Amino acid sequence: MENAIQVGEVDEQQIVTKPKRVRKRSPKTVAAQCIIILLTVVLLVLQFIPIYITLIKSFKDLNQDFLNPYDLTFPFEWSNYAFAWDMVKSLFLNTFILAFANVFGTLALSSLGAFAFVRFRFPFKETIFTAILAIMMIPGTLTMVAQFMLVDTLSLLHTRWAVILPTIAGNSSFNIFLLRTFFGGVPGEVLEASEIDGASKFRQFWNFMLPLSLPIIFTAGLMLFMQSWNDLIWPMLVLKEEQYTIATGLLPFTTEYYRMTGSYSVPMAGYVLTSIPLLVIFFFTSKQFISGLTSGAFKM
Amino acid sequence: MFSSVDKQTRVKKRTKKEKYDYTAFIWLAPALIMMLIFCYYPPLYAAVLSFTDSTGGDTFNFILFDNYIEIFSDRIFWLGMRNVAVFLVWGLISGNIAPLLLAELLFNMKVTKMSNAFRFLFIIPTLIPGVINMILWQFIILGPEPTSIMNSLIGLFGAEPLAWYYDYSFTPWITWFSLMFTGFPYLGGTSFLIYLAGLQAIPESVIEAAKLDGCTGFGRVFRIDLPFLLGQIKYFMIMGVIGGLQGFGTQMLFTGHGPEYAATVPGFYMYNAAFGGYDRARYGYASAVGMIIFIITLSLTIINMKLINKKEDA
Repeated sequence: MENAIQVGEVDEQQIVTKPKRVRKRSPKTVAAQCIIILLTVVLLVLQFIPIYITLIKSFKDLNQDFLNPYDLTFPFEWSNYAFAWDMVKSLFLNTFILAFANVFGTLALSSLGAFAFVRFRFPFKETIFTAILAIMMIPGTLTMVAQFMLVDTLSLLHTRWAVILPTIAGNSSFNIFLLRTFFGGVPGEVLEASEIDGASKFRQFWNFMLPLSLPIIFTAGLMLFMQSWNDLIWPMLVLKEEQYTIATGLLPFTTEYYRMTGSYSVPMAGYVLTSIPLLVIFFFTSKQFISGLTSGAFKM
Repeated sequence: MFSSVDKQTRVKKRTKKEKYDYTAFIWLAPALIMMLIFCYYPPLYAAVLSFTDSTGGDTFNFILFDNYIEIFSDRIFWLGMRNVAVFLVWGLISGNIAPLLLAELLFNMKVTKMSNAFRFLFIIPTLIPGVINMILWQFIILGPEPTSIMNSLIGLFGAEPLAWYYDYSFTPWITWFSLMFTGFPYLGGTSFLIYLAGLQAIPESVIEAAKLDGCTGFGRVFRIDLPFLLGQIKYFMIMGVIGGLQGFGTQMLFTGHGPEYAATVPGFYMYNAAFGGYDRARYGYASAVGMIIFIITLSLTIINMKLINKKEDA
């Protein structure tokens, strides 16, 4: 370990003066690195077991699943996917509607709010901020009954608004906190310079603050999207069955199919299909997502 | 709690006396209005409800502390408290140690490209919808059939297949083990990235100095890394307590109360009182359970903040 840091981070001057030492790694360092990589790979394999099972099983027909549940079997049963798609496509649409409303609604409300905390002076600023943070301490289970009666009173029950509005409101608290921390780290000079040039507060926000904060916006957006994708108890309580999302609709489908056939292969194909959107979004935003998560905004 | 932000604003206040800009409230209004309706009103209403016998109709009677007295004398509630204590402690330990370990591994990996590739790969499983993971654990990994992975594994050693989550051996241990083992190796989530960010924020000079003093390897982890990660640890402790005390997705979807109430948690107890059956819409009673969960959450959060702050000062 001692040499590891030295070897890895030698500056250029040292390379010039002592080229031989840089290339040479002590056996102790190499061994330590090997152990680190080995441990990481073991963890990675364990972490990927569920994905492996899902993929393997999704291509089996009833017989293959019965005889050979955990191995690769041929030929692949592609029709599982066609059947699964028929079952999950309505879940997809329902989930997308809720997820988009959640992402855009929450980000709009919280970024405006967070900007106010960073770029304005107003009375009771810290009091209001603490009050907003306090929401995070209130468990959803405490408010579930009252919330249910509220959406009932507002005649939102069995509509999508019953999920969308409380979700956006509840998420705003954490996201205002998160965005305020990140906005606070954006150098103020840029915004002040544009203010001198006569840019309105909204233009400062739209043209400078948001573009400079893209990493955290992407991170927050993807996290909100995942939340909608995973939200279970509340949607199950207030939505009609034909509005069920992936989280709420996959289980009934799974148990029903297993009861009829004794196999999980078609539901597994459904799981693969429902996992694809998040993966695709992640592949396109992974750089921003990781840099947002590692920006240091997540701590207290 | 947020000392850096506080300090900045305080310095500003002293140096120049600006005027208040009331247009800030226009920016805040959309969020605040939504929060007033959907975040502040429900808990207040829940507090009122908890002292009533409301069943959802327009009329209800105030019955003072009757709900609370009934809850505290219900054996099932106490079993739920016992279970949630076990799950919470385990969740906080496993949910923090595993990501910390992974963060240390990735931080100490000298080949940056490899470290970045691993970072990317470890995120992929966290993108799989959570309900799929729950179904996999429930039916495939710890499934009750002899063909489930765990039963096949213990079958290799000649053991009889177990029902895991539904084990009826009249001790809660196997049900507890199943619920606690679920999610192994406990890396589901992006917390390892947040710990990694904390490690990367440790100033180079500190690590160099530690190295000169002969503080390396595990010594460094405990003496340098962990103290520097207190902010992150605190964040996850608080979030973990809040989430752990109220979650009951597994109970609702799969285990229910479990054998001998081994899987019951207060959140599920509350849900059952309110929405559990056609004749059980005991909204007042359920709200009282919610209030108890809230008070416990709040006390634990305050203790958490005080404890970790003290360590920070020392």
